[in-house]
Amino acid sequence: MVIIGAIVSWRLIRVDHGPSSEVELIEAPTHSFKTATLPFTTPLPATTTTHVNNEIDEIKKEYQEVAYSLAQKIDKSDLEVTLLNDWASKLNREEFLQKLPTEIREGYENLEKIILKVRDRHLKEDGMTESFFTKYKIEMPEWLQKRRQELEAYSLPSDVAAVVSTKASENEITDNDVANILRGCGKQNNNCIEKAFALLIDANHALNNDQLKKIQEYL
Amino acid sequence: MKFMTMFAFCLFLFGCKTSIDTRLTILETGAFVVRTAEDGILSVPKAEMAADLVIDGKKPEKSYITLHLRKGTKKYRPEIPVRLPKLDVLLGSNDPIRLDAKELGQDFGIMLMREIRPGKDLFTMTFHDSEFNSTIGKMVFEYEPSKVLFDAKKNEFLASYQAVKRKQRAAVIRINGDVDSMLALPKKFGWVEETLDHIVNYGGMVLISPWAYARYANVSWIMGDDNKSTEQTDEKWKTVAKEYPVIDYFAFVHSGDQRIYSNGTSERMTMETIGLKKNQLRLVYTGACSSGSGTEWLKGYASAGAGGQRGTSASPIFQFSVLKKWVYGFNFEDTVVKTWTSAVRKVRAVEWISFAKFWEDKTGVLMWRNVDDMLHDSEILISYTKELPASNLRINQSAVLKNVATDENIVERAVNEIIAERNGELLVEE
Repeated sequence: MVIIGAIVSWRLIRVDHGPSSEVELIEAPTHSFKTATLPFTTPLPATTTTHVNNEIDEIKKEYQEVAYSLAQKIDKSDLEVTLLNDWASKLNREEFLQKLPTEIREGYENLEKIILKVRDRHLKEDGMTESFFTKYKIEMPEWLQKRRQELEAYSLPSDVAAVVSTKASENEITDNDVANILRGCGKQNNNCIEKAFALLIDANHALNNDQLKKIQEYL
Repeated sequence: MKFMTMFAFCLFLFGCKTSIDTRLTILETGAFVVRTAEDGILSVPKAEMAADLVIDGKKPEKSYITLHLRKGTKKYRPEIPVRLPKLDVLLGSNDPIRLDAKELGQDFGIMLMREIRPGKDLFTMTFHDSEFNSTIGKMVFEYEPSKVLFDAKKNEFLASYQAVKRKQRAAVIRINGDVDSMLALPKKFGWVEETLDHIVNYGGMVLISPWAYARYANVSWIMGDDNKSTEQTDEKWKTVAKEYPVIDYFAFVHSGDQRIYSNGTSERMTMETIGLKKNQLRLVYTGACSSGSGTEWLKGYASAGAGGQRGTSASPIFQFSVLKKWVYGFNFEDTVVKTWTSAVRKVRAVEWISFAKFWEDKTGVLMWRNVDDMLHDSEILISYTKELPASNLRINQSAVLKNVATDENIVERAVNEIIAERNGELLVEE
């Protein structure tokens, strides 16, 4: 029974280990191990401060040369700095670069190449790797999406709708506002209660724990 | 029926364990020294190896990593015990999770990043020294976390809906000056000064971007002249306030430019004119000179925390580090303490004369008499309310919803004061 229990109680999620799944453990020397391939930033090598400073100085020097060269190109062109700031802050990288004449675009691309080196230095300093740079994404669980869609089909009573509409634009939802909406909807009128407060959440209001508890009592 | 009973009994007896096959890469021999389940010490060799991440469903603190090693011709499977959070918390989070050595019960720290993909998500677990100063190794695996993060049966639609919506956070990043000292440009070409300012600002944006987008669903940039001339600043703030429930604000600017004025320079915008809700602005940090502890953000815009500089500040040396450490998951207090400690170490390591020369080249003027003078003027000051101390404020957290920013309720602290307290130094009562 114990054996069966052990088998059924383990949910194994299998991914192939691939070749060379075992590494030999020996005390010394270490050169016999397979050299690891490192597709990401390696940690700071054991170098001296002078070595690091020289490396930083090199990057700075390269950066300054590229920056001055780009500045001269921009200055000779008809491009206004205010417009460049505006484009750079509004558009994504590709859209921004597409707006520029070839020679100036190349200047920006050269600048970015050096900034990548600066970025790598920062990652090394922080003991971090590029894998940290995963784009942040949010998933709304399916049941929440479904419930929110159901509520779309429901129409709030006019008095509650009026309160919600006014409060949505104000900067705070007070306990009195919560009580007012609950009274307007009535006990166990879940569609009304959930739609009214979902609309306020959509307007970036946040309900505190006491308010959520009070609402829960009405559902 | 008999089988079902037996199954339930076994489940009760053993709990439910999830074993995930992974590959572990160790970068340096001697860097990954771990405590094994048998209380032995093991130095894991530099190599790429198979490993199993076993998460105990019943007692996640009893989870472990099994390494596939061999001693001579014999298989060797040491278990490295690690105290992990629950499976759904660990592998269901949208945010990177950082686990300190203390929490893990080992002498290393872990950071776990999740890349959401169709089907199985890709996870990268990086291993660090206990201070998170260097990377020791990394482990990559695929896993499909449970889709349902909340229990629908509990009828908690509103609480769950709010929780997910509030993860849709945004950052407003304002740049007008040297974000980072490595990107500073000497002021020796006056004739292209305005263009060079633009290049410095653009470079700052390119440098910051990967860190910012790793933790914010949206980043709104305000650059250079945009600070002073157009209505776009107003519009950007209004758009962010309308679309995102949680907003952090970082301003790498000169003194005064961190403030939000309508039409660039006229009246200062209020919560009402921006359209900010009471709980919406969460953290404000600026490297602007003489910005102080930022209580104006708590009082005027109901932010949960704020930080700035004591006086004429050498902010490019450390201000980017505040943003980095914050997005790595350190709480706000640790963020400024670690940033400051490292900045002081760096500044003291550089000879004052060469630093002074660098600064004069950069700005055309040197504002400090010596290194102590500079560190005093550049000190980071922070403020927060008693409801949410800076040590509890983190990037993946909602702002406190019932904070009261009155004079009695606001706490202001200088970073050196926090460090002295942590070191157990005696302080003189003011």
